[in-house]
Order: sequence, then C-alpha cells, then structure tokens
Amino acid sequence: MSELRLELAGGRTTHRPGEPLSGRVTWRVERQPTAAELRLFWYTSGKGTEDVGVVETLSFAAPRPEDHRDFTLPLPREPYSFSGRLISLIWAIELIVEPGGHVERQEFVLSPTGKEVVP
Amino acid sequence: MKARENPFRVARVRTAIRYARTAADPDSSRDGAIALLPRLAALSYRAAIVGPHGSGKTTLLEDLEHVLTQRGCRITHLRLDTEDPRLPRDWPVRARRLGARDIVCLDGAEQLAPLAWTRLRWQARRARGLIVTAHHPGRLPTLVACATSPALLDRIMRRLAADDLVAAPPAAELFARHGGNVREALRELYDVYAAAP
Repeated sequence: MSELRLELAGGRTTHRPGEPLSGRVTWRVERQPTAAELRLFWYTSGKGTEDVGVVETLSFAAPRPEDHRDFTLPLPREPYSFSGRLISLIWAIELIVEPGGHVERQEFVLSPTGKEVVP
Repeated sequence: MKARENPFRVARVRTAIRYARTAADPDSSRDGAIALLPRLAALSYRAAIVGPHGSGKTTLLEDLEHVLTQRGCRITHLRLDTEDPRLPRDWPVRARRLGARDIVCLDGAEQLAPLAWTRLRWQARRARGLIVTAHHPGRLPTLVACATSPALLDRIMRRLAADDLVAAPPAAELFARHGGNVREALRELYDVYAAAP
C-alpha cells in the first residue's frame, strides 16, 4: 500500500505571481524508488484540446521507500489562473514516485488578487 | 458554469469514459481493450477497429496502446485526419527501425489513398503488429466494430452528470440530432452546461 502526501506551506491554496512556492512531500511506497520528482505545471481544461506547460521539475536525489523532503520553487509571473465558460487554466504541483506511477497532485490559484480571473 | 466545473469537459470525458461497449456489460475501464487481446493475437496483431465518427475508435485504440505497452510492446502512434491526412515526414525513417517489439497504431486509416496504404503496410511489415482505426471494414481484418446507441449515450450522460441532468436534452433526442455521434452529443452537452449560471 503506497501513500503520498503533498503539503503546501501554511495550507495555502492561493499564491501571487513570482513568490516562492514551498512545502513538504512525504511518501511511503513498497518498492525502492528509482525516481521521485516534483513537477510544477499548468494545464487547461474545458471544451477543446487540453494544453499543458511544465514550468519546473525538481528531482529528489537518492529517494528511500519511506521519505520526506522540503521544497521551494519560484513561481512564474504568468499565466494567471482563470476560468471562463470554454476554458480554465489551472495551476498544480505534482509528486511522482516511480516505479508504479504513484502520483499526488495539489492544485492552487496563481493570481495577483488571490482569486482566479473570471471574465 | 466555469469550464473546470463542467461535467462534460474533455478531460473528464476522457478519464471517466473509456471505450464503452453497447452490450449489457458497459465496462468503462481498459478491460474492454484487455478483452480484445486474444482476438488481436489470433489476427497476428494486424487488425482494424471499425466504426462511424464518434463511436469510440480512437479511445479504444488508446486503451489498446496502453495495455500493449504494459505487456512490453513499443507503440508507434500515427494520427491522420481531414486537416492533416499525410504521414509524418520522418515516418519512412522510423519504419526502417521497426522490429519485433513494435506495434504501429494508425488512427484514421481511411485518410490514406490505396497506394499510400499499400506502401504503409509494406513499410510496417517488420513490426510485430499494425492496428488501425477506420470508418469502414476492409483495410485489415476487423478486430471490433464500434457502435453507439441512445442507451449508451444515456448511460454516459448519467455517469458524467449523475443526478444533475435536468438541463440536458433527452439522450434519444441528442443521439438522433447528431446521427449517433456520441462525441458530438457530449460537446453539445458541454455547451448546455456552460450556459448554465
């Protein structure tokens, strides 16, 4: 039984452009991991084809089956989180532990106002 | 309604609804693809998924690619459509490297003219397999014929929108309006929900 946890500092779900995104990842997996990685990305969701942009990838060296790491990643200045009727742009950070394709994802809002942009 | 909350957004449709059979066993997982593996092997991994627009051919091909990859196959995915009906420029080079682990999956085989189709079959001869989707049978032995029905659309609608189908037109009406194209029917439903406050 695997267990992955991704906590953002202070439990924050909204962040301003350019500020650091920090937190802690914790995992417990059955097999010796060959890779543990954190990905900062945005993706679109809606009626049309999905798009995705990976902004930063952080690989954790020498991961153990039961482990935890603290992280800090710089957030870019754009694109802002937004949501219209046809498309939403969503920011997320994802922990991936291999083998087994274990994934834990946390979504957050990137916006100067602290709220996603709504037309 | 915001796009990310729309129950008929593409990401949700793609993850919640995999290839669904019209029979009484409407499995929404990749089991549908796994169940086809014995027949695929019997056809020497050279077969066609046949069906009209919006009947789940591409979805089933993707599911097959997934289960074949899990079984050690290497997939070369080619996609053709009316906007881009030609094979990639580097295809001949890639074809020369094909071997016993490779399975070529061609989505949209009907886009190739007879001569181009013959050439592709020759180029893929060293691969372990060639699986295609097509609107009509004939290019390769049929692995499965995808079909849709109002009942299937109704089941998909209920799975995606659960009890919140008040705003949606009846499945039978949608099905008829889109000529059985489930993908287009789900797009209309997206618009219906997008217009909701």
